[in-house]
Amino acid sequence: MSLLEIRDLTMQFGGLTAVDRFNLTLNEGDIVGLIGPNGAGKTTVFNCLTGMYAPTGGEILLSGHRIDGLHPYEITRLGMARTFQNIRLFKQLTVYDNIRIAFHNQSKYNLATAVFRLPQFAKEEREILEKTEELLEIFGLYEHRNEIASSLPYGEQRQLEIARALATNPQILLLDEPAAGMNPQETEELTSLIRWVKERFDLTIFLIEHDMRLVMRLCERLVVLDYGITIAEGTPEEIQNNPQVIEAYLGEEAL
Amino acid sequence: MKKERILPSSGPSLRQKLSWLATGLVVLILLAVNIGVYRGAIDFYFSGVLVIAWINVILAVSLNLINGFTGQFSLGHAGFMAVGAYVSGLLTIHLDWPFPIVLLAAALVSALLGFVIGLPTLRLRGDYLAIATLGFGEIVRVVLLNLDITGGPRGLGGIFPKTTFFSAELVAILTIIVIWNIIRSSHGRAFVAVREDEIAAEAMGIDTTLYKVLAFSIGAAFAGVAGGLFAHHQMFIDPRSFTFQRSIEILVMVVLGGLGSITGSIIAAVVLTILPEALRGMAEYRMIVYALLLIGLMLVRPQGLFGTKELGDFLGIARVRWIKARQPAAGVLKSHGGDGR
Repeated sequence: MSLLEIRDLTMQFGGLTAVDRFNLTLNEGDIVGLIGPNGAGKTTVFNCLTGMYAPTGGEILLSGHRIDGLHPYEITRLGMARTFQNIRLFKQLTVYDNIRIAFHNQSKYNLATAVFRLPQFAKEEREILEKTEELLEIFGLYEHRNEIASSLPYGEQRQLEIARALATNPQILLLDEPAAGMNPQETEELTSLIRWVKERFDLTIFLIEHDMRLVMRLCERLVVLDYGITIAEGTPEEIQNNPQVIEAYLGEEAL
Repeated sequence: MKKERILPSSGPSLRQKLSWLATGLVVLILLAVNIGVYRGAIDFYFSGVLVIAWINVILAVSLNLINGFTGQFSLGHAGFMAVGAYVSGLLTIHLDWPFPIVLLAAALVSALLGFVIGLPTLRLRGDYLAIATLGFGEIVRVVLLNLDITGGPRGLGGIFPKTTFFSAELVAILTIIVIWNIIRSSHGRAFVAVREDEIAAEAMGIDTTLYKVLAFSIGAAFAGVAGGLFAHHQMFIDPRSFTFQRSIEILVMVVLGGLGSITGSIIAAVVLTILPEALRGMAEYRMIVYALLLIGLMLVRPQGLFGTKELGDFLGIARVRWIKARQPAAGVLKSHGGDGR
């Protein structure tokens, strides 16, 4: 059974069809890229997958269960985590707290346990603490743990957002333009980071990216959207030579 | 490098000492006040003021949970307080239940109302939520004004004076402990996440609607208890005690102390209760003083006295400054960064 199956996903805003019958199947361990010109509907696909929008048509199945129309927090609990195009950290909180919050679902104690500070509280809080420090060390953010998230350099904010998404213990990680605003060297580092994280956490990755070098090096498979319609799907090589894709990106004359 | 090593080893012990000193000082003052009230050294009038101070502490700390930690701007706290006051007053007059049970009932009814009000209004944000909760407070007042059982505009009299300085103190301390422990748990972090960024909080698996309603219900429950204490202190309540102005007073305490600081709320509540009594001559200008305080604070310290920090956190900062002052060499050794974090 495939991990994620998207069937005829459609999202209409009034008369505008932002995504039109989008189909995709992700198997465990896949790393797939979603590309397309600005306004093609890529982020809308992500927003439908993660419950930010309720799709107007089609089905989304995660491990065989329908998840379209569920709340974002429910989908996160089912094992799909995401980052945002324009970083959405808890800006005024410390790096440390940003990660700790993401462990929310892994703590099972209730309010009364917290109020009376029962042993379960201490046990689970200690576990969260250890896991948080482990993640911070993996991402090289441990020295910055007491800094306010918004004071971090841009690249490290991106890393923190990925680390925070991983703290929710996902099976699938959706990355929305992870290399946006990065210079070539940072993009290079990010590429190896994503590859490493995928192995380390046993992830399936679905990412949106404009940086073609990153996409071509990282992804096994690409889907190209233009005006909400899937115009091509295939390996990076196939996509690179697809006339329709070249037309969508560079215009008709380029052919 | 050397400085980095000095700080962690000498720091914690000093910070602990300062914390102990502060805690000791607070306990000492509390003890003195308690003995003073017990022995009758503090007169009946001033111990009454202290009861109101404890009630205001409960109100401010519980409103801080809603406004400060969860970031939901509520102006309806006097409404929840009114419900608690009337429910407990009526229970005492008609059924004469034991005081703790009466207070518990006041908490439950207020919490239930907070839940019922919370569900529909929490779809609103910012200004709109503020207006809706303001409307709720006014509705409660008008309903109390027009019901027969509440005595309408004549008010509700003959409530036995069961609130003492000590019972108010006990309930206030319990409130502080409960809310403090909630805030410092994964549930508390969920409240703060809702305040910081709702969309990100949802993406982290936090049911934001649940936590907003929860904050409202818990806050309302404690406001109800405060109302119960108030009713059994005044012995007479009427709808005029629970106007919009009352909500604003509580809000000022929370903002003044710092949205998101429990110790800030406590200090602000105590100061703003005792200050008007100290300035009795100009008690009529209290609202002007409130307004001036707010404006002054907005200009000088927009985040409130403590911001989102607690008293203890400031002792940590004081420690770093003190060490810097004590060790002039530290400035020479310091290359960059490493400001004692």
